[in-house]
Amino acid sequence: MLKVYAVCVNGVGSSLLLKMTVEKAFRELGIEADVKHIDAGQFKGCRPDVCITTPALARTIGEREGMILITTTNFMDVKVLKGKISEALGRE
Amino acid sequence: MAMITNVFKTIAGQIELVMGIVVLIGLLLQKKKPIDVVMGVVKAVVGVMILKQGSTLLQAAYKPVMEMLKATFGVTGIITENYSGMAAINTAIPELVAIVPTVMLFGFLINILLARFGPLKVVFLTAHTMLAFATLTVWLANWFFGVEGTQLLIVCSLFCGVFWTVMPAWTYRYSKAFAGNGFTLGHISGMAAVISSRIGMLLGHYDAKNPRLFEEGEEDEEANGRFHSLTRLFNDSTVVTCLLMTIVLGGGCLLAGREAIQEAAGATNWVVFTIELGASFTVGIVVLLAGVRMMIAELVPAFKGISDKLVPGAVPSVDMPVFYPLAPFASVLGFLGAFLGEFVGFFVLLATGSATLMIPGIIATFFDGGIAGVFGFKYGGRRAAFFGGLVVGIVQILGGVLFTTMSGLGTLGATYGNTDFGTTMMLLTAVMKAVGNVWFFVAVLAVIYGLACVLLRRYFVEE
Repeated sequence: MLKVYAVCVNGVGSSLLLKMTVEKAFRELGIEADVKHIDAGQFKGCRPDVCITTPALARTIGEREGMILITTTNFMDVKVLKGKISEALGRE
Repeated sequence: MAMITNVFKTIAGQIELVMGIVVLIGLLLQKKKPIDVVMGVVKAVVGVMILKQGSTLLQAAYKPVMEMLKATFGVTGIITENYSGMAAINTAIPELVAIVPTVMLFGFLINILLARFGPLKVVFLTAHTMLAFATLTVWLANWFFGVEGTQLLIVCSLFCGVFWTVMPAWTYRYSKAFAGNGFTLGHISGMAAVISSRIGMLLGHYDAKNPRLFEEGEEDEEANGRFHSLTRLFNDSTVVTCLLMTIVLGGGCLLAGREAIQEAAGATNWVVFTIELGASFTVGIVVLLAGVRMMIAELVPAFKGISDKLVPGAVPSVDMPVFYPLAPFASVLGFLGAFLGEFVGFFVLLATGSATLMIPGIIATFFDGGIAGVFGFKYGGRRAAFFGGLVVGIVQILGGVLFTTMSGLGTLGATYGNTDFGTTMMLLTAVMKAVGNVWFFVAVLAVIYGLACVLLRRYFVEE
């Protein structure tokens, strides 16, 4: 099971929406994933397999060894996210 | 029998238990597994209780400073921050706020009904905002009309339902052009988007027949890169709240002078006390948000599930940060504008000798400024992003002071912070004060909804 985090500034509203979109994307791709949401500050202590966030926050978070970083500008678009996820996972 | 009624009454008087029941209904409607239902209800109950603790911490952090300002200058200082308003209401009318989760549920259902059968197809999904707003409607209805029980539930649910339908529909009119029909803004900062879009249209010489929207290019990307350390700061809400609130609250203290601070600080050294004020305020916010996060994580999927089933194709109205990636640099510009605007507003109040001083609460400045930045930029470019933010900041303070004094929140020494409170809610509060009768106000709400339908329905017609 993949450990996935959806990250936003406050970790309350928008990352929860992103989480719901990400969950749906993984479900439709048939990949088992445990998706959580959190704010960028607290994310520092998390060690997930995949992190999904905005391009601006991705700069703050930075690339990490062994973590796939996916960025999206639309939190509600399942289709775009599905493409990005399968591309990122395919590369691994 | 008397005992059973008593138990029910006691449960109905505890906000966390009522929230537990509301979440239980939501989870059962989604046909969740029993174990998920148990987990969800526990988290909702514990979440609300954490939120209450956070409220206490938050109030303990800023109250001494406000008392200091009152004693030294005779002015009432009030921080423009939603959660401080919500916390103060929770403390002031604990028996009445137990109705809030029920108001949220019915308000949401009215929103769903209006979207299903009316022309404005928007569904409000920002649950933490719904909680703060529902709490405020309970305060207002009780303050102006003195209603309780069923009447309170009816008027508050209608208030919420209409507001959660009309405001997102209004912002959709502006967001549709650049964000599509996948989502719109569902918050109590809708006016930040509306005002800034209008300013953008003015500065960008917007032509409805030949609409042109601004896109961030490489140049903005570079500018964003140059401000990298600044944006990193803004990307961490704990850090930005703490630093800026230290300046705001510490500044307030220093105005009052060393002796006053030492008196409030008690055994603590006055310098340490002043430095730690912002941090204590942030602790309150972080704890409060932890509770809110826990609670709404159970609620939002339920709301989304209900809306997908009952109103397929409705535009979900979501939280502000969803918009920032559409123009990240503009959102920073908007914030800087709003920050400046808040201080302009603050000094206007100071210069005019206002008895109530609105103290910038930073969080609403930060988020609403970002929204003003994005909407202003899309219609009028960088200048509009900044000036949109500036106007929003000024409105938050100067409109906010009217809202705070009229709504009776001033008596609690707290208020709400977002742009809608300085604009639409300020007007609605004036209406409530003027009509003085609960059913007249319900009629006013119906008229507002009707007007909104007439003016905004064409944006929901598929081309």
